[in-house]
Amino acid sequence: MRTSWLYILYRLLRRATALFLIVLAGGIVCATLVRFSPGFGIDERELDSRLNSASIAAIRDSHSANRSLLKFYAQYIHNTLRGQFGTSDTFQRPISELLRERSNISLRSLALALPAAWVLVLSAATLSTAVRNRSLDVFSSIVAGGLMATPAAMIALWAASTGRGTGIALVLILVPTLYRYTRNILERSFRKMHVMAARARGIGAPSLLAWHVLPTATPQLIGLVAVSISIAFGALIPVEFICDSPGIGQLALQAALGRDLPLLVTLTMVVTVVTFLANTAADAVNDVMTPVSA
Amino acid sequence: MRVDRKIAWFVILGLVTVCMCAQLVAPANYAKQFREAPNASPSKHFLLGTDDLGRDRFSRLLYGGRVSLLLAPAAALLSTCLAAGLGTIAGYSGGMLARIIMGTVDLFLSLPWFFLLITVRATLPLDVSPMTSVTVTFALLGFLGWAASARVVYAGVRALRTSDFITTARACGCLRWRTLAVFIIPNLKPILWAQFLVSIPAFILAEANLTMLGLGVAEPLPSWGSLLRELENYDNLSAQPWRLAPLVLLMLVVWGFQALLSHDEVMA
Repeated sequence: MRTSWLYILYRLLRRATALFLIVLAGGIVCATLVRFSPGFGIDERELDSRLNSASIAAIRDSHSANRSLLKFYAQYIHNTLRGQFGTSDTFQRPISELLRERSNISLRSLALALPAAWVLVLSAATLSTAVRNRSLDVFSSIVAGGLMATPAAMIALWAASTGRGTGIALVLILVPTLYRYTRNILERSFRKMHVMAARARGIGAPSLLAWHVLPTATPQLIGLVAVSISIAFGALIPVEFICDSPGIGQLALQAALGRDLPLLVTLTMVVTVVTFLANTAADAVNDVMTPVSA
Repeated sequence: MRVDRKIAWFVILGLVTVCMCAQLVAPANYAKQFREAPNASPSKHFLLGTDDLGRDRFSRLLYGGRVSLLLAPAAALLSTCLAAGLGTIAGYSGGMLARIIMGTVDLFLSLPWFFLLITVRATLPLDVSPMTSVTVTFALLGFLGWAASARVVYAGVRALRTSDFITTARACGCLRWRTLAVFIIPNLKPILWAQFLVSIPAFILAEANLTMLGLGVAEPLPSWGSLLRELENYDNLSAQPWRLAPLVLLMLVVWGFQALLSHDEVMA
């Protein structure tokens, strides 16, 4: 048995192709929305009564390149790949500038909330698996179930009203879902034959978890880390909007309410690329950790 | 049947019955304003008091429940049907068609759900009648929520396709469409049922989130999401705990649907 690097490379190439296709598809959707939005290709200078017909014709000629759909798509995708996403209708500012400005705030919230949520989840799930106490199980299920049954916007509202901030709201949204998945993964590992054999030989719970349960659960937990990033980005929308935190979640909702489609599609595309990269990284780590026969 | 599942069935069926009979049970229409009694406390006339516009909260809760409890399962049915169709075609046909369908599923799953939802919602008109807004909201949920279920159905069909009884059926000369109709689709029922049940609470919560953010069901039509918007004034809640009724009901229903899934389905 040895790790097949060719296999890992093949999977990475597949992922890279899929990522390229997503960016391409997102670019085309965005370009279509911009191209067919009301007022496209009309220059305000055309309304200037001081300009003569020759000047107006010259202004129209300067936009003629945009009238060819294929040329427009090519130009748009070229700009997108260079990180230029056009201008937001709502904010009248370059989208790339808005993204840079807002993503810092969101990344700070995520950098705080994700590790905190994971520490809580891993502690609770490990404790629940190791102790195997019915009351503890029921209690954790009720708390997780209650939080999962509460809309994310409601949790954000509570956090905003009590001055808890975006970090706490994100943690409360992330923890129940992650806890349920993590608990199930650990439980499944706990029921594996070799773990049962180890238990039968009298190995204590801490050793059992450290040497038998967690190592077998690690690949799935790494995959779950990538999923948690996607969940966290989704939760940013209600949390930042309700808690009035000027991050990309709030920007996305402002764009949606203002029907600023180019900004909205660009945001969705950027978040998709980030979550996709997180999934790819998780897969790569898993591939390296899990030996595959050549 | 486990006790919690029995309770869940009782809660859901009870609530569905009461909400479906809203016209008979509710003391007033959801839009009727009692202008002489805005923000009234609970009384014999107004069981849960009235809102800022003098509308009876209890009536709005029942009518809102009717919207959520009728349309979330409808959206779940739509997404489950889409998932069943595409998952079965991909799983049973295999080859290039399967690769294309599953590639689309992967692409769909890599898009963040809430970002996708608000993007597609924003492409549709926002200033629409309440009935249109409710239809658009739940149709969107149905059309965008199929991908994860399709993957589960695909895996189920693949497993069935290679099973012994299907091999025997095909060896006995059973035609492809007959194998599909007689042996595969009936065996998919538990998977489809589980996917249907998983989708309902997810769609109820998604509608509540969308409406609370101003992209869902429009006033004056109530849904549990729009009733939760009333909680934006959080400070008065301790003095008026009855305003939490929509949240309690929503949580109860979501818990109920989650409890209906068996332990094995949750583990999967």
